Amino acid sequence: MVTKIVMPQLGTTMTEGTVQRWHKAVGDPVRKGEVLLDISTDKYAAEIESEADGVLRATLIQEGDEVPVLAVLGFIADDMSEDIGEATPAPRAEAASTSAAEPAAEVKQAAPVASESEPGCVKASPLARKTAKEMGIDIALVPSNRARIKQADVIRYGESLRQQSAVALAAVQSDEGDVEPLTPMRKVIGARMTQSIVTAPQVTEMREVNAGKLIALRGRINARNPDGKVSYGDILAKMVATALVNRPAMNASMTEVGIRRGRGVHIGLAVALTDGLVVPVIRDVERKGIRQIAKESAALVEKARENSLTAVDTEGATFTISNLGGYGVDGFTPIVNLPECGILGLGRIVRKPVVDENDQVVAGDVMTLSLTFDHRVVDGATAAMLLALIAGYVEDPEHMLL
Amino acid sequence: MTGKYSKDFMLKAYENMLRIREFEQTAINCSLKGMTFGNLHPCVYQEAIPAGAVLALEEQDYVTASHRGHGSSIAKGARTDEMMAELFGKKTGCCGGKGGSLHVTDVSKGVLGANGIVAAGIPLAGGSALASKIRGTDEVTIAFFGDGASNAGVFHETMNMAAAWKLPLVFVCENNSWAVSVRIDRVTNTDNIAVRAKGYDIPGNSVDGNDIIAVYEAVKEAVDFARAGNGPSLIECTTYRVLAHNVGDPMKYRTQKEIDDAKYWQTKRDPLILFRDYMAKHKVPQKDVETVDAAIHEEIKKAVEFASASAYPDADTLTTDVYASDNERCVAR
Amino acid sequence: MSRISMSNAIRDAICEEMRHDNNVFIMGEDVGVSGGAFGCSKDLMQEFGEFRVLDTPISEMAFTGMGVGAAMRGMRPVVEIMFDDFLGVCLDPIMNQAAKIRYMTGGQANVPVVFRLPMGCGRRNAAQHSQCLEALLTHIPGLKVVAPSTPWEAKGLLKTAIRDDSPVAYFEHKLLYAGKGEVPEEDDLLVPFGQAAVKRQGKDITLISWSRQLLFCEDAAVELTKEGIDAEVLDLRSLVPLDWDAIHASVSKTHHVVIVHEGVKRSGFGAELSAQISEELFDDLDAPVERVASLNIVAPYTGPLEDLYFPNSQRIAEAAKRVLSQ
Repeated sequence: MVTKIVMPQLGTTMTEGTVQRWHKAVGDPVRKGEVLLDISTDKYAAEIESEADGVLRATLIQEGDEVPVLAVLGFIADDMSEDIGEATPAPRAEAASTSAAEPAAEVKQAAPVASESEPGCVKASPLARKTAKEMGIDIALVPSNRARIKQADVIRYGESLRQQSAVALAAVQSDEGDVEPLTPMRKVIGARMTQSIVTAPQVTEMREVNAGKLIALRGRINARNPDGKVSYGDILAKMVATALVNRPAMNASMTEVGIRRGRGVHIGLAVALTDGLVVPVIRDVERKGIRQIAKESAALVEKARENSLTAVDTEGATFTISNLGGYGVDGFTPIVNLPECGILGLGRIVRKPVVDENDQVVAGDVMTLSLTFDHRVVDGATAAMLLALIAGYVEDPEHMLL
Repeated sequence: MTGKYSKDFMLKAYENMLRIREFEQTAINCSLKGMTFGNLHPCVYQEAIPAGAVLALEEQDYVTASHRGHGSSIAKGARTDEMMAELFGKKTGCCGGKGGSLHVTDVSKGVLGANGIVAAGIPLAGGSALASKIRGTDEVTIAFFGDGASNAGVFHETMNMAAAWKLPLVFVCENNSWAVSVRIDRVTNTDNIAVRAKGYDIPGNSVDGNDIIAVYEAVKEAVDFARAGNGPSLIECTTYRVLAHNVGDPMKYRTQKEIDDAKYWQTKRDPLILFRDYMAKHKVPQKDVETVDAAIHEEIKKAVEFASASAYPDADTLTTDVYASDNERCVAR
Repeated sequence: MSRISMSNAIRDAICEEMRHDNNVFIMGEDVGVSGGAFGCSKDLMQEFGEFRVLDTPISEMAFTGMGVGAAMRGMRPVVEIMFDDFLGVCLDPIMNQAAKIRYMTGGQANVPVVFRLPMGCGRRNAAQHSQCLEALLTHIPGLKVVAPSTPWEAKGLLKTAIRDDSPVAYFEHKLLYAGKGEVPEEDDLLVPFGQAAVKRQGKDITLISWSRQLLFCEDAAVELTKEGIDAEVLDLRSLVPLDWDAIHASVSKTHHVVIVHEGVKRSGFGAELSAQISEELFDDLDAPVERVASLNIVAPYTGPLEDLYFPNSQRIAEAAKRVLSQ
């Protein structure tokens, strides 16, 4: 029995496919399911498997050649002596079965209607056949109210196929819901984030820290000042600023002409809004106490939520902190806020088993710090050292005084 | 035979006859050796008619011939080497190998062609005569044809028109008694062909076709008559077709008497032998005759060498010359 | 421009060529004193004399042969064979002599003769005077074959024919003689061979024809516009040589063809055209090529029957619609 190998229709818009590589040579035995050849289109690549056991009786299309969908690429037969009829080469080969999965009928000249794709069985004018071939349509599928399919029938059918697939596509697309236009803030955020990613090669280093002493510190400060509560973010801002004073390499910005060292440490605090985020800046954090930092940050957050931040409020940061701990995030990869060269992401404090100084596993409070740096400005070691310093302050705040 | 001809004239007449004889005999031999294509219709033992008749023509005159047409064509001046090459089907043949024996032509010598259609040359000759008449020029055209052709309608039609319009045309009938297998007296009611001239009120004459002088004189009279504007004549030259209709015709149709008749004509009425006697009687030196013999023999020998050495036509001449202009397009579709 | 009949246009062509070249002469039955059975040589004898306008006896075979012989001598005879039906009595000089002499003589001799062949039915002239036999002669290599449909083309084609060094079969239609048409008064109006003319541009279907049937195609095209069908009408004018480029251009545009001729359908020239179109323009065809032609019968005498025998504009239009609907 002879089985045709055809170029499959891998999508409604596919009209041609290219034979990339034959995995078998003429004469090779093949088993059903074995890969015969690779084909590709502008969208898809695929392997064509054999639909039958036998031998690869003939290949009609060479590697690199492009043929219309449903063109016959070759034949599988029981053996090399089996007659494959007048298999003409290349695209002139008649369109075979309608889907690659159907086993094709035997290629015999006297084939009856069972072989629905033989040219003799579908009455169509030569022009209609030529048009169908050009349009990548199986002539056998073209409906006509005449005894013989005409060009107009083919064109009409082709048009209906196009409309059908356009309708199908539109249906698929419309499932995705309404399109809302971008707000200006979204546009800006999108642009800035993209700009950062595209311009600066970024690496994030993560470190888990023991937050026990941090929790205790915050508790003590807030116990004394019930009115002006400080947040973990406020404390971490002071710790980061202190660390940057001691290790100023990352208190810098990348410019076109070189790396600009910041004179003071001005920290931007990422504030989440309902549909975006803003990063107001606290200036000269290294010279301010935590309470002041807390007061200022609270005021800025208020302003942010009222949408009354000014340029003065948001310009000039040398470093940014982004706190997602409140959302249950551990480590993450914050994106550097250009032209700064670093951003610290704060994760949640979570109760976890830790190993104490006696090698005992005890319950502890763990927080993940994520430091992203611009690799154009510093390298991993430098960033790691800053992270280590910050981590040291978190685990032992006294070190900030040393 | 009269005795009023110069030695040169007699030798010329002999040479013309001999040339035809040697050519035809050689062509037969070549044909039997498979060197020619198709059918050959030689006029051996009938040479006095074309040779004698053409002797009466000037250079500017024209002839058409029948299928047995080598004789008058050679007599009128067609080259024997080109004609042999034509029979051999070579590109050097007078028709480029594309016409063959039945259509040997040399327009430059006034040979308007042999013809494969019996009697078809007669109206062509009539047309040639008509051209002279319309132009008012003095060329005369001879139509050579056989006894068989004289029964074709077109013979009568042409004779009638030529007579009515006094065209400068001479009808020379080579009556060899045979139209392939049919003896003339079985299908014709008259004693001879010449008598048909009476039906058209033109001069008609019947002469011994194997007597070159007799042929010459009768045709000369007719040619002069035509050239003077008096119209056509019919000259019947009686001979016998000693050989078969064509090379390879087994001639099973002849009775013993007819075979004997042929033998008689071959041995006793051979025009060459008769004329050699005539020349001897009229004191033409034997060595002059032998000189002609040798020259003709050499000429024909060279003709065969020429034909043998020539190449066949190139394949690209297959489709040329079908039309006088726009040939390629008219052949393509 | 002047409006003249086709017979006069033919006459003018002959006259002009006879004045232009002393080798041109006309011969045939009744061409001289009577001026031609169809008036195509009217008054020519007065100007050119009885040998250049030569009344012949009823001897088609011989006088046609004489035309050929004269042509071999460099004359340019115009041989009028009164009805193309008489090809039966003079085919040998045309078929075996004129057509073949150039080739058989290896190019030595040309035969610049024109055979004028009045053809066509519709005159109730019955079986032996109504045929259109152009297909017969297209089958003979060596002959050029042309057939005009209008007076000006009749004149231009005949002048070209007379000047052509090949033998030309010039088919004139008896029922076109009287019809008048505009003929430019140029000194030398020549219509080249092998050049068809689009007589009506269209995009839906091509009607290919020549001679009188071409006019019926034009009528059919007008009828077809009423049904929204835009037919292109192509007048071949010249069958050998054939203007294939014109056919190709039209068929690749319309994809539908009807060939119309008055010769009988079987083995008519339409069969040749159809074969060529299917061989070479197969992929351009959106329907089979149809032929509208006279029936494969002997032309009848009585009017009602004769009118059923040959094509008319209604049958042509029906065929066009049929082809388009297939």
